[in-house]
Amino acid sequence: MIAPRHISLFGLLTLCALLSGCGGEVAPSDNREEGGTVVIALAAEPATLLPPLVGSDHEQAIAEVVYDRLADIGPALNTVGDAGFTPRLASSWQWAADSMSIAFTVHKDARWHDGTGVTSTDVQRSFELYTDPRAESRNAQLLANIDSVSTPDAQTATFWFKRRSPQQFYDAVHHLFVMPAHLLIDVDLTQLATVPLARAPVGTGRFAFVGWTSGQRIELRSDTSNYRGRAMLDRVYFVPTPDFGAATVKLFTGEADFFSPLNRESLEQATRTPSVRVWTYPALRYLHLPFNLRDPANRARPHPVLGDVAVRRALSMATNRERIVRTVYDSIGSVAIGPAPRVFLPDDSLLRPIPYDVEGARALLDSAGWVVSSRDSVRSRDSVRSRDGVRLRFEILVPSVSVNRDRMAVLLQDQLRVIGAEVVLQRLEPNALVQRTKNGQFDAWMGGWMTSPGLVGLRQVWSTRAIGGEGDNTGGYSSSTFDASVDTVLTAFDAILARRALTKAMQTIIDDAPAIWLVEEVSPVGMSARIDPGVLPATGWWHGLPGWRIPSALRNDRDRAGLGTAR
Amino acid sequence: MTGPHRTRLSSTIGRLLQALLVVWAASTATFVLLRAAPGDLYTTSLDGFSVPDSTRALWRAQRGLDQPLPAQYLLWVRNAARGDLGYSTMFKRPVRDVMRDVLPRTLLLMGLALATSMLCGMAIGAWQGTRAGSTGDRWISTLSMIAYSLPEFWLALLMLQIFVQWLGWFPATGIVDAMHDLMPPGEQLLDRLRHLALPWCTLSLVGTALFARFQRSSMIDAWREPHVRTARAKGLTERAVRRHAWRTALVPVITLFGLLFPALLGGAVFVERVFGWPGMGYTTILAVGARDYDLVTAAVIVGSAMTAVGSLLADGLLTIADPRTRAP
Repeated sequence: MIAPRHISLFGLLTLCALLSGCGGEVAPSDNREEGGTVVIALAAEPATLLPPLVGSDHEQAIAEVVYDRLADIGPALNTVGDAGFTPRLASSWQWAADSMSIAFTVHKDARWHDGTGVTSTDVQRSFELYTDPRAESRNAQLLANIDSVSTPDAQTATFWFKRRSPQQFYDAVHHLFVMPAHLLIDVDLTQLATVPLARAPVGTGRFAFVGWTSGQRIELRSDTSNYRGRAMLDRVYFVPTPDFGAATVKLFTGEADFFSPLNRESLEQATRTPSVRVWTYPALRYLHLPFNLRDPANRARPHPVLGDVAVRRALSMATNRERIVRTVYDSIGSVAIGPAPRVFLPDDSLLRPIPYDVEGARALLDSAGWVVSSRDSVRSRDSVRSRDGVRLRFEILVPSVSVNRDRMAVLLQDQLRVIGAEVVLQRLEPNALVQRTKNGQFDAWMGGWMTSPGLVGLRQVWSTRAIGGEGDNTGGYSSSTFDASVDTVLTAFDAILARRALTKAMQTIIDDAPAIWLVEEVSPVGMSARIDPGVLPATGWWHGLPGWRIPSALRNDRDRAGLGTAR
Repeated sequence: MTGPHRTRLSSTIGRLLQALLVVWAASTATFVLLRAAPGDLYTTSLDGFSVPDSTRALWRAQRGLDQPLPAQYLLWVRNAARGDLGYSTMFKRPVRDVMRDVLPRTLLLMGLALATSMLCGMAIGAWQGTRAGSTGDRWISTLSMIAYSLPEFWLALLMLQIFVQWLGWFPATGIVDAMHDLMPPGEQLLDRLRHLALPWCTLSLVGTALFARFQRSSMIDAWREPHVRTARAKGLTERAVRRHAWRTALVPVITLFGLLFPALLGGAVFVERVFGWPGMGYTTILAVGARDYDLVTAAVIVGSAMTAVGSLLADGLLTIADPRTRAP
C-alpha cells in the first residue's frame, strides 16, 4: 500500500512520465528520394509575408521560398548585365537594342499556388505595388531606375529603364518578387499590410503556404505541381523562438532542426553535439567605427579632433583589429578590409590596409602636433594628448542592444588610451542613436552596414552626394577620387574596368580612414546532421531551402507523421 | 434602498471610477511619453540604407504622426472610445487582433499560476503556521526563501536546462508542437499540457513561495489571537480551531492577491520570453522596442485595468473574509 504522503509524489512522477511520453507515432517507412520535415527556429515572428514589406531575415526566409523572382543571381554574385543569372519565373528575356528595356517572358507552366496561371499583369502589378510610396516598401528606391513595366501580351513583361546601367538587369529581378495581381485588386495602398495575402501568401515558389498560427508556427508544404519541380522536403515549419538560449536548446534536443545565427558561445556546444552540424556562410555585413569628420557644433567646420586625417590614421594604426575580432568573434568573424566584404572584392591582396603599429601611431600624432602637455610630461598610460588646447578626446556612441559592439567599443577604448586618446563610451537606445547620427551629433559610433551584391551602399554611405539630406553619409567623408571610382564601379559595363575602379575606391577610403574597419561577420548556422543543405549561399541560408534533402535512411517519425502510407 | 446598501453601492461606484481614472491616467501618460522619446517607428534602421526623408514624411502623414500631439491624442481617444485601439506597426495588424491572440494566452498562464500559487501557498503557509519552529517548518521556510529569491527569468532558464536539455521531459518553447495538428485529440491535449508545464511551474513556484511566507506569518499571529484560545478552551476540535485561525489569517493574503495579480503580468514577460510563450507580456516588450505606439498604449490599458481589477477583487474578498471591513 502506498503511504498517503507518497501519493502526491507518485502522482507527480506518473504525470511527468505521461507528459514526457507522448509525441511519438509509429509511422510507415518512406523510401522516396523526396521527403522529410524540417522545423526551423526563427529568432522572431514575422510581421508580414508580403514581399514589398518584408525586411528582416526571418520574414525574407519565408517570403523568398513562397514567391519567385523573374531570375536569380548566380553564386558569383555578379550584378553586371545578366551573366550568371538563372531563369526563374521568367523562362527567357530579350534586351532591347539600346538596352533601355528588357522583355521578360513569363514561364508558360507557372501557376500560382491557388491554381491561377501567372501572367505579365502580375509582374506589372507587383512593380506598381513596390514603387508606390504609399505602400511603405523600403525596396522602392532600389527600383528607382525602372521607369515602368508594360505588358505587350499576357506572357511578356517589358521593363523600361530611365538610363542605361550595368546593374539594370539585377535591379529588375533581384529586388522584385512577383505577386498575384488577381488577389491585389482594389487594395488601399496605405493599408497594404492588412491585405489577406500578407498573412496567407499565394506564390509560385517550390514551397506553398499552408497556415500561420499566430505566435506559434508557419507551415509550408512542397508544391508538388510546381513548374520548377517540387521541393525536396515535404514540409517546413517555422517556429518563432525569441529567446536565444531556448532556441539553441531546441536545436540541441532535436525539437528544431535549424537555427540561425549561432553565437560564439553556442558554437562550442553545437560542435560537441553529434546530432547537430555547424555551417557557415558570409554574412555580407561589416561592422566599423565611423568617425564624424565635421564639427557637431558647426557642420561647416571640420571636426576639431577627427577632421584631421593624421589623427584618424593614427587611431587606426593603434587598433589591434585582429585581437578585437578574435576576442569578440573568435572564428565567426574576420578583420574587415574596408566598406565592402571580401566576397565582393576581385582581389583583396591588392589592398594595403593600415597596419597595426602603436609606435607608428604615436609618431604620427607627435608629428601632427598632438602631444602630451608639459604639465603631464611624464607619459603615463592615462595621459591624454592635445593640440592648441584641444584634447584628443572623443565619444563613441554604442547601440545598447548589441553585445558584440559593446565589447568591441570597450576594447577600442582600452587600445586607444595607449596612444594618448581619451575615448568616452555612450550607450544609447537604437532610435536615439540613429537620430544623433542622422543629425551629425556624434564623434564616432559603433556602426554596421548590410551590403548587397549591387554595392550601391558604397555610394549611399560614403559618397559626397550622400552627405546630408537623403543620404547616409552622416560622417561627412568626401573624396573626389573615391566618388569618381565608385561612379565607375556602378556605371562601367566593362567588368575589368569596374574591378580596377573598385580596388582604387577601396584603397582611397582605406587611406583616408573615415572609419576603423573592424569586422566582417560570418553567419554560423546550426542544423540537424540528417539534413543535407548542399551549399549555403551568401545571399541567405534560405535560398537553397527547396533543395535541402533528408536521406530516407535518416528520416524519423516527424518526417513521416501525417503522411499515411509511404507514397 | 436601505442605508448600508446605499453606502456599499456608492463605495463600489467610487472604486470603479477610481479604477477608470487610473486606466485613463496610465494610458495618457504612456501616449505622451512614448511620443516624447527620440525617434519613431520610421526612423532609419541601424545598419541599412535609409528611406528618403520625403518618403518617411509621407508615411508619417499616413499614420497621422505629423499632427500636433493634442490632435493625435484626441483622435486616439475618439477611436479608443469606439473600440478601435489602433494599428500595430510591428505586427502590421490591428491592435485588437493582436490583443485577441496574445491576451488569452497570458491570462491562461497567469490565471493558472495565480490559482496554483494561492492554493499551494495558503495550504503550505497554514500548515507551517500551526507548526512554527518544527523541522518541517524550517525546511519549508528555507526552500520557500530560496524560491522567492530566485529571479523568474533565471528560474525559467534553470527549468529549461534541467527539464528540457538534461532530462528531455518537456519541450523547450511554444504553446504546442509544430506537428500538433497531425496528432490525435488525446495526444493534442497532452501536447498542450507538456508545453504549459514549465512556464506554469516557474510562475507558480515563486508565487507559492510568496503566498506561503505571508500565510505562515499571519497564521502564527492568528494562532495567538484570543478568539483562537477561546475556541480551544471551549473544546472545539483542533481542525475547527485551525479553521477559525485560518479565516483570520486570510486578510493579509487576500491583500497580497490584489498586489500579485498585476505583478504576475510583469513576471510573465520573462517567462514568456524564455519559453517562447507568445503572450502579452513579451509582446509588450517587443512593442516598446519597435515604437509600436498603439500596441504599447493598449497593453498599458490592459495592464492598468488588471491592476484595478485585482485591487477591486481583493477589496471584495476582504469584505467577505473580514466582516470588520464592511461598511456600517
